[in-house]
Order: sequence, then C-alpha cells, then structure tokens
Amino acid sequence: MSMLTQLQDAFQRAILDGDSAIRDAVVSNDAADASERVGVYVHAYTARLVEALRSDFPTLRFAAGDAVCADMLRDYVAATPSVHRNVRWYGGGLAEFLRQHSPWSDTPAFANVAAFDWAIGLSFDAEDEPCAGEEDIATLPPERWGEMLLRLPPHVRLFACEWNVLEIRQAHDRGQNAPSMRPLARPQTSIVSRQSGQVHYRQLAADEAAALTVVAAGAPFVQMCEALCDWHAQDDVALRAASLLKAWIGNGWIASVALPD
Amino acid sequence: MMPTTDSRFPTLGFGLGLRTDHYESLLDARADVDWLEAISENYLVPGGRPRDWLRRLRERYPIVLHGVSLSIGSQDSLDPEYLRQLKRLIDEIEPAWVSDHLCWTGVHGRNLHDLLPMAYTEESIAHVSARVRRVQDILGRRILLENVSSYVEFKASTMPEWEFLAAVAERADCLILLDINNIHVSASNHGFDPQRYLAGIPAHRVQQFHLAGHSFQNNLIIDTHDRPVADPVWRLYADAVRRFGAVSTMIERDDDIPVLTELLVELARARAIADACTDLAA
Repeated sequence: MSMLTQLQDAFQRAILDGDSAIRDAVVSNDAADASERVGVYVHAYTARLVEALRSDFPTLRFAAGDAVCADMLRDYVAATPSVHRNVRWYGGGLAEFLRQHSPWSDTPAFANVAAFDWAIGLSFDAEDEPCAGEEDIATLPPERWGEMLLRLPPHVRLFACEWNVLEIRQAHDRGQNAPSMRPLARPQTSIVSRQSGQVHYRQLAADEAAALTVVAAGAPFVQMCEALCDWHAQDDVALRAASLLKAWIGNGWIASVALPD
Repeated sequence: MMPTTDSRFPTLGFGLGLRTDHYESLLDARADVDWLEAISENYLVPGGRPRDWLRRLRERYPIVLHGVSLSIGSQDSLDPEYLRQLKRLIDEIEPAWVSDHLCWTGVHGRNLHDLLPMAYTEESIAHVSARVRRVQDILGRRILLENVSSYVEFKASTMPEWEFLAAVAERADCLILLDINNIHVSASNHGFDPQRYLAGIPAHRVQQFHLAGHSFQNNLIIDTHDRPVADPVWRLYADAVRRFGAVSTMIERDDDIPVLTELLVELARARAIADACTDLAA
C-alpha cells in the first residue's frame, strides 16, 4: 500500500470511526497538537452534514424543534457515511432511517415528515420538461382514448400522508407555530408539483388520488376511468375523467399523452 | 522542459461567489460586479429553479464554475458520472473557466464533503498531475486548482505546500486559483512565512484570487467564510497583486451572508487595493 493510500485511509477512519492512528502521521507544534488538528476535521464533518440536512428538511426541523432535530440528524450522520459526490443527495435515506431506528421510530410522524421534505426537494430541482396541452389529446382519435397513456413529469410526485404533514408544512410556510403531530384517521394522498419554479402541495380528493395513482403506474386511460367507478355512477365517470384530465393538463401535471406502440 | 508560456484566460476583474441570497439583487439591477463564481455542485441537479437562475444570471454576467468534489488527490478512481455531469453543465453555461481544489474528499467510495490536505511528496505530484491531465482531456479545457486551508501537515511531506502546488501546476499544465485567505490561514496554523508562499508560485499560472473571512479556534485559524476579509488577508492580497499583477479577484461568503451591498463595499476595497498596487508595480 502506498504512503498516499495509507494516509488517506487512516485520515478517513479518523473522521468516520474515531480511529486515532492518523495522529502519528501528523505534525504537532506549539499552536496545536495532532489530536486537536485532526479534531478540526472530525468536528467539521458532522457539523457540515448536519447543516446540509437542516437546510434540506425544514418541515422536520419545524415539527421536531431544533434540538431534537439536531440529535436525529447527528444520529443519521453517524450511521450513514456519504457515498454522494453532491451533498444534495445525502438526505435521501433519512426518512427510512427514522422509520427504522429507535428512538426516532417511536414517533413515526418524523419519518413521514422527512419523506415529505424530500419529495418537495425532488420536485424543486427535477428535470425541466415541456407539458402536454389539450391540443395533444385532440390529435388522438376519440375511439382510442381508452388506450391513451398519460405520463407525469418528474416534478409531480404523489405522497402518502399518514400524519398531519400538510398542516405542519402550511404552518411552517405561514410563519405560524408548529401544530402537534397527529395521525390522520386514514392515510391521504397529496400531490407535490412545481409551477413556474415554485413547489406546490395539496391534498387530493379520494377519487382524484385513485385516478392519478393509476396514471402514475403507467396504466391506460380506461383503467383510470375504471378506478373512478368506485366513486361515481357509470354515467358520470366519463365527465369526471375528462374534468380531471383538463385540470391536470392546466396544472402542468401531464408531460405527454400517447397511444401505445 | 516545463512549459513557461502564459496560457491564462483573459482577466475578468472583480467578482463574487454566487449565493442564492443574492440571486434577485444581482438580476434586479446590474450590480457593480464584473463576474460571478458558481459552485458547480449546486447546479448539478436535473433542472428546476437553480439551473434557471444560473441561466438567467449567465445572460448578465460572465460566470466561472468552482467545484468542491472533484477529489483530484484521492486514491479512488476519478468519477466518470461526476465528470459527465460537469461537462454537460459546462456545455450549457459556457463558463470563462472551471476550477476545483488541490485536495481529496474521500476514499473507498465515501465522500467526507471536506477539502482534505495532501501529503506534499513526489508520489502525490505524480498522482495528482496525471489525474489533472485526464480531467482536462475529458473536459476539453485547462482547469484551475485552488490551494486549500489546512489544519494538519503530514510528517511524510518532503516539500512545502507552495512547491507542491507549483510542481502540480507545471507538470499537469493547469492553472492556479490562489486563495489568499487560505495562505494566511495555513501559514498561521503551520508557522510558515506567507511571503515565501507567494514567491514560490509561478506567476504565469495564476488565473484567479479568492478572498474570504476566517475565525479563530484556540490557537488555530479556521477557514469559515462567515465574516468580512480580515486585515492581514487584505495586506497579503496587496502583496499578491504586487507580485502577480491584475489577477481576477473574487470574495467568497458562505455563512452569515450579508446583503449584497455589504459585499460590494468589500469588493470595492479589493478594487482599490489592486488599483493602488498595480499602479505601484507599473
């Protein structure tokens, strides 16, 4: 093993595992000994990643409070070495970490709130893509609309709320006090999307959530209509489906409409 | 024989590090800023507002890209996906130049998200300079490497930092981003003379200066970028201008970021020092 390899290996172990071997390779002087010098990097590692996560998870920070949030983020950093070149992606495993690790798993709302923050971030810097217009549907023969495939753009994300996540986020955005975290009577689907660079979120009506879930799974328009049958009389389904489709296109939630090959 | 010709890009003047806090101020009216330095990684995202802001600002200002995770000194392989993304950003933004740091950021596939110092040895020079050449081939352009601030020196080093930086730049045929604050910080932390540092850097390689603030922790100085440029750094900047001439200069601020006008006052001070020192040098 080359000297350079040994040094980098030992330095990284000092930062990630608290290994002290690197100190023997570091110059001490009157200003500071090797331990203090290496300690600057050890401290900076956690501080930097916690700060990045604080910025990426504002609703979690708001809901949990600064001190509790700092504790959970430090736990995540200690358990999760980064494999990302870009620190932007480091928080991708936080929600799952909070779901699985005590004491944070004792408050399941934390994982749900963290997942919501992550969904907002993914929508914020998702790939830019043109939206479909109503004229794109008009080009398809009406007798084949049932086969029509609708594709959602990357900034549109469906999110399952099991806790009052939206209420908490709304309070955050309005500068109000954080409401208590409470479970919803039944899970609700929300949508996170981007318009003119701004990320928006709102709860979906049950029938709209079911229809959009079918579309997001890549199923054809006819299956979306079938899903709506659980909420609407047969005669009303076509009207409701058309109304939803018109609204989605207006919101920029549809990237393309196409017939299968 | 080492190349000694001046291969630098045209000078841009006086710039600022591009931070989200200042996006709107920079677009509202043409601020007295000649150019902007954008952190590459902040825009290595698929799309959305960050890329849109950068495109709009690019229409108003020359932009250079400054990376923090090339990890040119690492024993790990270069990351082709990172370079592919960076190349795509370069093609879109057409920056005046592209820089990163003379450091490593992790090994074994891990990233420590810090600018970690090298051992200054012949082995390190050979390792880094070969990798810089590969990066320059991939990006199709000469890059700049910045000296980092450091809190450790390795017993294995066989030369001072400035000799190491100069040797890498010559052997890799790359340019130098000289961070004046980092020279001051490291000189204080390790007890070397910053004037010897300046004297050891080949002038024809110096493309850009960084200026920034620092803070103190016991007997060490920490490169925090959270306050105005300190007086000793301004004095060292004047010395650098006398030695290297009119080099593109920018101020970095990453924490406790003030309103734009406050940074413009600092930038005006840099202009004044540079004007005075280049007049004297002339």
